[in-house]
Amino acid sequence: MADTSVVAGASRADGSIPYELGKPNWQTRTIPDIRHPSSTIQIPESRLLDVMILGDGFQTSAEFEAGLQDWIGDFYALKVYDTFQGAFRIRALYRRSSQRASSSRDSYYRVKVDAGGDGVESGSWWEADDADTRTFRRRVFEDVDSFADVNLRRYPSGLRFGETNVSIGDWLFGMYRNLTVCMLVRTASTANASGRAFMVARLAPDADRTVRMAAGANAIHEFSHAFGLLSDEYIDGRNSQSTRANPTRRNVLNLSNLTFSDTYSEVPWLHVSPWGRDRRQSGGDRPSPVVGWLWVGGGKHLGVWHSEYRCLMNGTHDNFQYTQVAAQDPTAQPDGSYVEETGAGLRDRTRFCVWCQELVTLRILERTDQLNEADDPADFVAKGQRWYERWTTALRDQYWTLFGVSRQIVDAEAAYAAMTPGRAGERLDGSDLYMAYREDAPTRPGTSRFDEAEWLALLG
Amino acid sequence: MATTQGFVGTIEVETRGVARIWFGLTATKNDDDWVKVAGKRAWFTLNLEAADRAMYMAELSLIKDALRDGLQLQVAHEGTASFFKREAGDSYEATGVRILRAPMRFS
Repeated sequence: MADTSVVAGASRADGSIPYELGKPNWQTRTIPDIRHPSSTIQIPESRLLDVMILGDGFQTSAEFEAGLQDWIGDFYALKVYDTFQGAFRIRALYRRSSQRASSSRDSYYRVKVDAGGDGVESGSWWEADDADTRTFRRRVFEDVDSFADVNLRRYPSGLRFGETNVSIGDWLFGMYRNLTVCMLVRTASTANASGRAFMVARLAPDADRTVRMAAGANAIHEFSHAFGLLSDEYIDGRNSQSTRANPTRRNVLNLSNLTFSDTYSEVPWLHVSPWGRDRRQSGGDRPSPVVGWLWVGGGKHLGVWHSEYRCLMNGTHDNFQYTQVAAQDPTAQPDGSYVEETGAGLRDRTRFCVWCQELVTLRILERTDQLNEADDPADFVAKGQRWYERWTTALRDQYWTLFGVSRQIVDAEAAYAAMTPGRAGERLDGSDLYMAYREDAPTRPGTSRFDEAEWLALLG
Repeated sequence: MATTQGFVGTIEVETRGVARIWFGLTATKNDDDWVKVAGKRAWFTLNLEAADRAMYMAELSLIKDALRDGLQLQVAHEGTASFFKREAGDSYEATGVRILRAPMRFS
């Protein structure tokens, strides 16, 4: 059981207050040994994963502490973060804002909030070259740097994956590797501003030094964007079309929770599917296994898939609940129409899908150097490919044991088998929101002309 | 390689515009509980065209034995085919089959 304490330190001269969250979990820097899952190892302090939680729009330390308490409780509710609790050094800093966060940007960090005060504004305002944004960037890094031991290890700069139009691109290089910043945002109308994750760059001349930031509420979902480089799995805009592609070479560094190809050889989570490590099938009226197939959507609606019906990385937006025949879906209005942003809520706040869990594990292991071996290539991109190969051929077995993934899949299949999300109570496995993988090679066409009605049932 | 296993419940042959043997599996030996993949009753095919004939002749003999003797059969295949039997995404091209003598079962 993880410790969820939120302990304030002494107030600083400037009035800010530092906090340590769950310190007993990480002070010994002990994590499971992925090569020997029943054992643990101590990682060096230089490989700790720093999480720095800041707050914008908070006017008392008490309301900030309440936000921290929610955050830490939600964080350790996720098995992967709980399992690797020894790797995450979680600290926070309270700064009083004279104003709530808003679109006018009068709060301390000047996070830009939408006009309604409901969420962090979109539109890449964090990249703008205006006075508020420069103040935002300067103050964020001033406060990060105020922790003298913060881990400023970075991915090497200037490298390229040699891939085009993929989820995780060359922006990774130069980014702080062992540091993630969370910015809790308090507006006049809500303590749970809807969030987003993005990259924040230091001011010139260090603008190539970037950090991933999770801003807003929905805290661990956003944190997992920022830390885990996971993408949204919900549909935002029905009939929207993705134009992205999968990386042509599998690499730990740019492996995504989405696939932009539906073919057998290109879907990266075949091993969790019913055709994977734990073979599953059904017959007759028994529920068909659904974990690890292609579930439609991932930001866009078409041309992109994720691996399970529900996950922390899913959401609401324009999700279907059961069928892509919109007028027949439970999300339709009585007249069959659909009102934007009233989709099905498919976020599971206490659970990653099996594939996302594996990806977060990989991020942790990669950044704490647990995938390294002496014969790794010198080139960093090539290293990522070697680590992927090592993962699939040797370490994934240990991960499967450490997390009891087979049991997790059994439990998930049982939960899905009990769901009846159709308008008339149809079971989930009858949904058209998912499908099996498509075969790679082109085949000869031709559809059967036999009449199903001529079948004889010989069983009594 | 993906595999699906069961007991042969039907074999169908079509040639006109199709040139394909279709077969379906049941989950248990003495029932009509057709095997489903991704929620759809699954159909497996062998191609009858000349270039594939040697392979399908070998596979077909095993499938027939499995049907006649109630032997469990395992089909190797990839993803869904571009064609279908009853609905899109219900058909798989068999790349191999194997059977076990009863009462042995594939695990």
